[in-house]
Amino acid sequence: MMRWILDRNWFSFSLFSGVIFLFSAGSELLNQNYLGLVVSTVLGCGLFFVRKLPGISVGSVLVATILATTISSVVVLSLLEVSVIVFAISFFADRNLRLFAQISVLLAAIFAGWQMGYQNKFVVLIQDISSTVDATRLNSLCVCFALVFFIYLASMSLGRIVFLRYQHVGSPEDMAYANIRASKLGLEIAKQNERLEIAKDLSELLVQKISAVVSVTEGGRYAIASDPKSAERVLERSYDAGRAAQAELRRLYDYLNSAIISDVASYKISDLHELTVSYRELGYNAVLSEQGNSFPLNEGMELCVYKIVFEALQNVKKHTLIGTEIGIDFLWVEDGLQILVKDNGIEVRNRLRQGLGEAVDGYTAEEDLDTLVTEFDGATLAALRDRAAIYKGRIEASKVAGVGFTLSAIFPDLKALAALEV
Amino acid sequence: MPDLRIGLIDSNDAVRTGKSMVFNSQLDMRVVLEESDPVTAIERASDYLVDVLVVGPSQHRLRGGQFIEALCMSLLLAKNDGVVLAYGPFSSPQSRYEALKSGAQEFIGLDEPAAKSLAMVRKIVKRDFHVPIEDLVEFSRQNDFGPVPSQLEAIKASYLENQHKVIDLLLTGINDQAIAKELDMARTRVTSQIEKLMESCGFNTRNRLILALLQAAK
Repeated sequence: MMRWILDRNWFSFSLFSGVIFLFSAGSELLNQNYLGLVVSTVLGCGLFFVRKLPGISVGSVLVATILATTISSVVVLSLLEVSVIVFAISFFADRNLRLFAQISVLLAAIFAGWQMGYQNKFVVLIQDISSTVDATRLNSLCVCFALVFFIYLASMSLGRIVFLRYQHVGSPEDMAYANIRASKLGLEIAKQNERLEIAKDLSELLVQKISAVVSVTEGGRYAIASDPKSAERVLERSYDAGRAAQAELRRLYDYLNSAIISDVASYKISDLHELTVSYRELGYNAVLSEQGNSFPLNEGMELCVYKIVFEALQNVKKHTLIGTEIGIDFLWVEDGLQILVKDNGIEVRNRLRQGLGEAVDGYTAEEDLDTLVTEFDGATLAALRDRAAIYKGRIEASKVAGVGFTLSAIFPDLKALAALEV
Repeated sequence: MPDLRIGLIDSNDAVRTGKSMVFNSQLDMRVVLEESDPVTAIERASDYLVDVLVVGPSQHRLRGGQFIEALCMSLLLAKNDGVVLAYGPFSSPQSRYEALKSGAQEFIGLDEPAAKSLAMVRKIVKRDFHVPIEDLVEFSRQNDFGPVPSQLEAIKASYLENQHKVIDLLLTGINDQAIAKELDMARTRVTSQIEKLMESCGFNTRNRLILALLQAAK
């Protein structure tokens, strides 16, 4: 809900303020209190500006309370509507404005206590009698003040609690997003770490080569001084050492400037369970299943498989609606492994269209033909194909007409390769 | 002037060639051993009767102090008086300490001029050589030398007053001649006492002995 509100700039609060205005105005008009429309307008404005101009909303709390207790015919309802504004202020306003809001709430509660308690309105409201005894009026003032202040304070606290939960704890959906983001970052960090390690090794080699150049040229200076005939030999050795250092430098340069670098094996197939759960939290019906007897893979293979499934799921999330079913199947055969990531995104979309009244009838002949002839390609798929090719694997992406997409990764000789490298 | 017999151990051919050219250009120095394989070097070094073994950083299979330690042990067991001059790509206090702790007589970086390594080779072959005492004190303050051999305390406990003074003066950083003069005794007696102590504790250099004495005094 909060995400929906926050993802929309003006629309969400236009909607809420409209609802509040209509509800309040409707109640006032039921009692034929046309003056009460002023209260409804103030309430509507208070909520409308709460996100972008919360200062106006802070002022409206006091104004709306004064008007609600003086001219409204539905006092309690109006005060509850004010408390909605207080709730929203405490969620959206900054520290200083919240302080003003607290002062505003206090003044509003005092006024409400005075108006409803001391002026007997509250007593009239509840008991339909009026009291003229000062002590009773004072007691009423205190009770009304406490009640209004409590309601406002509760709204304010609730606003902060919701804010804290949203900002610092997060909903299961937020956590799912965070998990996926963390997985992405984890992959990136692993990649950079591996890159750094290789660069470190290369620079170590480079240091050796440069040391060799320095050593040979310096030795040459001494050798030429004692035996000038050695100059040619010295120059030749210096040249060779220089060329070797240059070649090493070139390797480092190429490496640091290349985009295709192997990732470190920090993720394993077992990590896919957590990823599947994250997708379920996001609203996708993701199911992970395994058939056959698995065999041990090396770290690079594990990461390769993880990355294929990760990217396939990202693709499903990008192109399908929430509610889509995703099947992640691991089929372990004697020598190899097949991974299938299937979704029914097209089916879900069609069902929604049908629900909205569109005439959707299965799939057309064109779609069927399209399924047979279309070859899917893209940067991610190409990268996955390259990755799978390292382990003699191949990746095929296909569209199932009227149902969804299927990504299939087949590694026919994985067991033999794993036996070589584990 | 007697020749200084030099051994070069480095798996990088070019570095070894450069070093060889530097040492062979000197009238008082001669490279008698060049080895690229560290394991073979450990086995053969003691046979060559070298005065100084110049040991590089790029030793395949044995890294850093591990190689120097094995090499020194092999020289010690063969009762070879050769000393080790270690070098690395760059001079740094930590590399120097690691080399000294492992048994090297001194450490030099390849970023320093060859003239300095020539001067150092001539200096470290002296029997009473150790690196400046201030450097050893600083190393001892910043690092943990590890367990002190039990023999050290036992031998020290059996020492007479004069012998204790030799140790105390050694820790001030003065050479054997100055210690002898101070205590009014023969220089050879001073040298002999220090070397016996080194031998009993299994140290091949005075650097290690001083580091152990400083550690014991902590």
